[in-house]
Parts: sequence; structure tokens; C-alpha cells
Amino acid sequence: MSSRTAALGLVVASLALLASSCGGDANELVLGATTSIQDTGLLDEIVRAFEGVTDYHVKPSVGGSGEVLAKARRGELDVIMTHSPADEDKFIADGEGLDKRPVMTNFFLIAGPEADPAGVRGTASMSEAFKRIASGRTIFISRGDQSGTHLRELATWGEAGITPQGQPWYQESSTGQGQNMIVASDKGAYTLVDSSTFTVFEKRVGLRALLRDTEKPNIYSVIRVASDKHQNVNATGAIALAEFITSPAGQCVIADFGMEEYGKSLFEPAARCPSANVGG
Amino acid sequence: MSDPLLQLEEIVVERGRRRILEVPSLDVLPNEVLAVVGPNGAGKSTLLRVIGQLERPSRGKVLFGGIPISGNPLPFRRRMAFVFQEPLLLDTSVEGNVRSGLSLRGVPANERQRRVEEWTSRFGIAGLRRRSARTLSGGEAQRTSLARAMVLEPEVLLLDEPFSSLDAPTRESLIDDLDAVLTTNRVATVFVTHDRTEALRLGDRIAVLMGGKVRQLGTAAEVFSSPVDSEVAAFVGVETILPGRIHRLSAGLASVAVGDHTIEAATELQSDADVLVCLRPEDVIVSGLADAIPMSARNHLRATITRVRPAGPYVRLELDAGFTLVAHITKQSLEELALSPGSNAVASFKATAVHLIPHRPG
Amino acid sequence: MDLIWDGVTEALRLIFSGDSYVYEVTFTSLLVSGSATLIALVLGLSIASFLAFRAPPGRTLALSAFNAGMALPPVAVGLLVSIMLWRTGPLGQLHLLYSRTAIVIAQAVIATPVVAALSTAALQGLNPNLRLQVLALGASRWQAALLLFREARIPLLAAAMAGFGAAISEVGATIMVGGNIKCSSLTLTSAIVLEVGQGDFETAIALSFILLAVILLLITLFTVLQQRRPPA
Repeated sequence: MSSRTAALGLVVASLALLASSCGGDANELVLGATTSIQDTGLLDEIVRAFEGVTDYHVKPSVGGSGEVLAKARRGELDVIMTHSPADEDKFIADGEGLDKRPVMTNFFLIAGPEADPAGVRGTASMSEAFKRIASGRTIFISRGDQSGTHLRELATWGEAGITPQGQPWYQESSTGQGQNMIVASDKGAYTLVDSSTFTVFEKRVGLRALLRDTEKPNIYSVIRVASDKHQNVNATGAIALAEFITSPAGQCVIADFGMEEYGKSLFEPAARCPSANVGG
Repeated sequence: MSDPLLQLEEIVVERGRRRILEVPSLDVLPNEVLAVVGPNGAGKSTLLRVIGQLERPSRGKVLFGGIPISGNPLPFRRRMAFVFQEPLLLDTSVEGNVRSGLSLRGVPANERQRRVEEWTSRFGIAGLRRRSARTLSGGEAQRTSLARAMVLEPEVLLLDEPFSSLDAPTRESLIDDLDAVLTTNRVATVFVTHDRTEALRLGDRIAVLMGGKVRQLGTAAEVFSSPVDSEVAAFVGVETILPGRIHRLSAGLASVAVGDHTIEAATELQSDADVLVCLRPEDVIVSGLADAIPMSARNHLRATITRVRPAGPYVRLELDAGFTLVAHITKQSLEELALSPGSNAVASFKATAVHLIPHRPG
Repeated sequence: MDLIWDGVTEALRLIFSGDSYVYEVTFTSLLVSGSATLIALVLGLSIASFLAFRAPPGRTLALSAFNAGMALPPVAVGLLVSIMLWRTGPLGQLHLLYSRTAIVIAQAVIATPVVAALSTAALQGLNPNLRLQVLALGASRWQAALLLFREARIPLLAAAMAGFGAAISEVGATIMVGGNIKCSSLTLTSAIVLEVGQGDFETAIALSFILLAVILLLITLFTVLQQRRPPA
């Protein structure tokens, strides 16, 4: 008899030990973020800085914009950071989100092989470049995951009047930002990628930045999940994070990110960081 | 007759629709060895498991020392010991095995060592104490199993065909040792076997179990020489069973018409005409036609040898006297009498060797 | 190829420099998977003794379910467990999502069918009369179960190793319910995925080697235990 109770006791004790580690619930803040923020490493920096000045324990839930917004609609997240303006606006219009604030920007670019068979370099606009890729029938790798990047890509195809789905040169990788670049590099293909991820992965892959989209920057915003709609949302925590990330302190964290390793900010903060040398 | 140690009352064991065992009453007396014999599938193992509280009967109860066993069977199991046909040893040393029941039953530690030493010597395995159970021969393993049981000093010892999977010489040796142990330490024992000679050897009383029912219970002599019906007779080794009709009966001697012959049989039957005539093969004496006839035997039948088959130490003869008689004779006699299939001979047997069973034809 | 070599050297460097990130992550993996395996053993062995020794009606059906459970896709388990643990889910009030406990739960759900199925097979491999013999010697049901576990220790330890292997190598469910919180819920496997996502291939490969080394060490220990001859 005693060995059974001992075993059960051991199990209960270890569960208790585990449960007690790292954070109670009042200080728990669930932050939904898109993969590019994690893959570049910025998410860790933001969380570390935020936890350094507050008592909150941030629990990041990372996925494509589609996944993040879906979870937010269920009230599973307290605050989100995404870069998908059309979806974000709908999210707020549906009463699911509050207080959208711009946090930072980067820009999209078309990456492709050095040889550039489709002649993307130097084209006038993104949609022009896309047309060339389509007519040249060179391979294009799409994220295919309803992420912000993917939606921008689809919008551009729409502008160019082309339907790439089903075409033999159009392939969907369904992976995160960095992985997607690796796939494209392996296949010597073109892809749409944000500038921050490209900078981080550039040395790993044989792709070149062929065309920058200077017209429409990629805007990252922070949105608080509507606490009036969902019971368990940590409203105060969400406010704290939104405040922090848009405050000078938070904006400086963003401005500094990437300086040491790449000599420039990977993301452009929405507001100025008073003390920083903001590079291009 | 002392009070029975164990009593079975109205025991019925059913599995699905089949009735495996049906024993209205059976007693085990203190200090006796009760041998339970029967063919395979008779329900002997089931009976033993019911007694040993390893199986719950569908109906009925077992009384231990007059008290019905109910509720948790564990305390009662701890007063008995069970040995199976396979040694079923644990993966440890011989000593570890012999000890295993002692620690389960909470026997004090100092007592354990003494008992282990005693019983491993009595079963002749003292020198094997440190050996791993995996390395033992069949006989050594079964000795270990027996020692493991006896070391518990049980009130009842239950043995389920413990020698059946051993070869003949090992079996002989082990039966001798067990016989010695049971004679010295009189412990109530229920010993199940399908081998009649084992039962005869070790059993004080014998129960014949066939088809789940106890057909006969009595001493060896009663069961083997006076089987209660033809099935029991066949099982206990009566090889000649013939239908006949009593046509004269006086002073305990019956004249029975069997085929064209008349057979004289000593019997206690008072009346009744139709009987089965039972004759054990070892009671049939075979002689040549010209030989002198033994006078005290009342039955002499002329017969022809139809089959000669060696059977271990003796020779089994089938004779045709209008019906088949079976006799066992020695090899020497076979040679001396120069008997072979086709030879004419005389089969003789005493009236007292003939056992009559009332027979209701149809 | 040089990437792999770089990974090996990086692994050694990380270990010997006492890099806290690596030790933290390794500790989390061991704690979480160890606990999950323990839970799986308690549950799995209980189920196995019930199915093997009591032979209840419907045993074959139950056993089919557990056998199939061995092939349960972990990521599906992770999704189901996370849905249960969501704020809107039935267990949401426990606030377990993105914690070590959540990972333990998910890994235990994955490992238990493995342990249960293999342990049942192990116990069914014992001579059925052995249990009766042990009961006849005077063992209570519990004593009998423990004795029989010892008799079947070789295949049972194999079951334990299989359960542990399932838990520690798991990544899909771990990420889904654990989040990749550096302080607490980052395991070796999810760290590998994270590092790959961030393009840090050397670190990812280094962590892979460390994971393999940890698994090899533990399994070797178990195997030695399993193969030990009882005192003769």
C-alpha cells in the first residue's frame, strides 16, 4: 500500500513544483506576435525590456497574423502586435480590439537569385516586377499562411492582375519568414520578404535584395484586445505593454535592435528615439 | 474420525454455460493425504483452486475449521500452500524463491533463515541455495517449489499435478522425498493427479473426479478394486469390463452368465440380474492347455491369444474367450509358456478378483 | 558538412563554458519530460495491471485504443490540450497555458498510451499461473502486482524508455502549449525550432547534439538497469 501512495505523492509533488514555477496569473500577460518579430529576435528584446521595468510575466504566443487575430478574437490574448492593416481594421471594426498604435515599420522587398532571370532589378514598381516574374515563369515561393507578408503579396498580385494560384511556377511553402527564404534560396526562386528578416538571414542564403518597396512601408501596430468583450483579458497589463512599446524607452529598444550586429536598426521605430543614431 | 479441516458444501463452478465442477460435499481430514484422480479436463485443477481460495465458485462455500470462508480470501490463503505443475519460480536465487512466501506472510526474520535451511535440506537442494532459478533442471526447480511451499508450515498443502511434467526417474525420486516429508510432517494435503499409481502411492483416501463430479471417494482398495461404475472402473485401470446376467446367487457367490461362459464372482450384491463384470488384468493368470490348473481359482476359461504387447515391466495380453479378456504377465512367463497370437491358453482368476457393478442397460 | 562540425564544437563550447541558456533549457527538458514519464508510468502501469491481470470484458477494445494511442500524432494532442487549457476552454481557470505544467500534461498524454500498451504486452507475456502462484504464497493484490512487475522488468523498462523517448523528443505539442518562454517553458526541442527560425543554425545543431547526448546517457543508464542479472 505504501509504495503506491509514495508514487502518487511523488507525482503530485512534481506537478505542484512545476505549477509554481514562473508566474502567477495576475501578472500574466499573453502577447500575440507575428513570426517575423520572433524570428528576427526582436520579441525577446521587447519582452526582456518590458519585464525589466514591470512585474508582468509576458507569455508570447507566436504565429502568422491570421492565427494571432483568430486567437485574439477568442479572448485568448491580451494584446497583439501584427502587421496586417486590412485585417487589423476589420478586427477593430468588429469591436474586438482597442487603441491601435503604430509601433515600428520596415519595408517589403523582392528577394531572388543574383542572376535575376526575370529582370526584377530596376523595375518601376512591385506590381511591375510581379508581372515580369509571372511572364518569365520563374519560380516564386509564397508564404501561403495568411500572414501579413502573404496578404501583401496577394494584394500585389491583385494589382498586377495576375492569379498565381495553381500555376506551376507558384509554390507555397507555408513556413515562417526565415524558413521561407531558405526554401527560396535552395530553389533559386523569388520571394517577398520583409527587410528585417532579410537582413538577419542574408548571410545564410544565396538571395539578393532586388527591389525595395519604398512606397508602402510595412507597419507594425500594437492593439489591445477588447476587455469589455472578453472576461479574462488582462486589460491593465495590455495597457502597460502598449504604453511601454510606444514610449521613448520602448522605441529606443526597437531603434537599438540590430545596431551592434548589423550596423543599423532592423526596424524603424514609429517615433523618434531621443538618444539614438537612427540609421537607414 | 476427527472433525474435517476443510469442507466443501454445494460447490458449483460454471464458466459461461458450462458446468465445470459440481461437488455437493467433500471433506479434507486433518493429517490425511486426499488424492484426487481423474482424466484431463475433469475439473481437478478447478477444485484445487476453489479450495485454495484462488478461484471463486459460482455457488457454494468452503469451510475452514468449521468456519465458512467469506470476504477477503487473503488470510485463508496464508494458511495454505499451493504447488503447481510448473515450478513457477521467481527470477531470483533458489534461496530467494524459498524465502518469498515467508516475507509475504510476515514470518519474523530470524525464523526465516532457520526454516529455509531446514526445508532446502529436506528436499535435497541445500547445495543449490545460491543458484539462479533460471539454471535449474526440471526436478531441481520443482523441489524448490515444494520447499517454498513447505517452508510456510501451512495447515493445508495443495498440490496440482506437481510431477506431471517431470521425466520418470526424476519423478520417482521426488515422490520418494515427498512421501518421506508427508509421513514425518503430517499436514493435510490435497494431491491432484491423473496418474493412478501416484495416487495409490501417496493417498490415504482417493477421490475420483470425472466430468466435474466426485464419482467415488474411499480408500485405495475400495476405489481400485471396487469401482462404483464402469467409467470409474475404466479410469482406475480395470481393463476387462463385460456385461452379464446373474442367474444364481447364494452366500455371497454369484454365477454370472457372460457370453457362453459362466463366471463365479464374490459379491455383496443382494439381487439384480444385469451386471458388469470387472476384472483387473493383473488378476488374470494365463497358462498353457496342458499345464496344471490352480485349484483355488474358481474360474477357468479357454481362450485364444489375440494380441501380445509389451508394456513396460510386463506384457499385456488380449485373449478371446468369446469376449475379450486382458491379462498382464511377465516376459519370462511369456517365453516359458511360448505364447503368441493364435496360441490356445487358459485364463484363470479367483472369484474374489471379480467385481460386479449393477448395470442398468439402456 | 562543416555546419555539422561547427555544431559539434559549438555544443562542446556551450557545455563547458557553463552557458546558462543551455543548462536552463536542458534542465527544463529533463524536468518536464521526467515528470511526464513518471505520470505516464503510474497511469500506464495501473492500466496495464488492470487489463492484464483482471482481464475485464472489452479488454481487446481498450487495448486497441491504447495501441492506437502509441501512434497518436503529438501535434494533434498538443492542439487538443491547448484548446482545453485556453481561457475559453474547460480548464482555462487553471491558467496553465504557456507553463511547464501544460507541457507536462501534453507529454504525459502522449507518453501514457505508449507505456500502457507496451506494459500490458509485457505483463501478458508472463505465465498466467505465475500470478496465481504469487497470490497463493500470500501476496495481497498490491504485493502481487509489484512482484510481477519485477518479473517482467525487462519489457517494462523497455516500455518506460519508450515513454520517456516519446516525451523528450516531442516538439509540436510542447510549442503549442508551452509557448517558448525563455525563463521556463523552453525545452531542448522547442529551442532547436526557435533557433532554426531565427537562423542560428550552429546553435540549433549544438542543441541537437546536446539533446542526443542527454537521451543517450539516460537510456544507457536504463538499459544497464534493465539488463542487470538479479543476485545469483
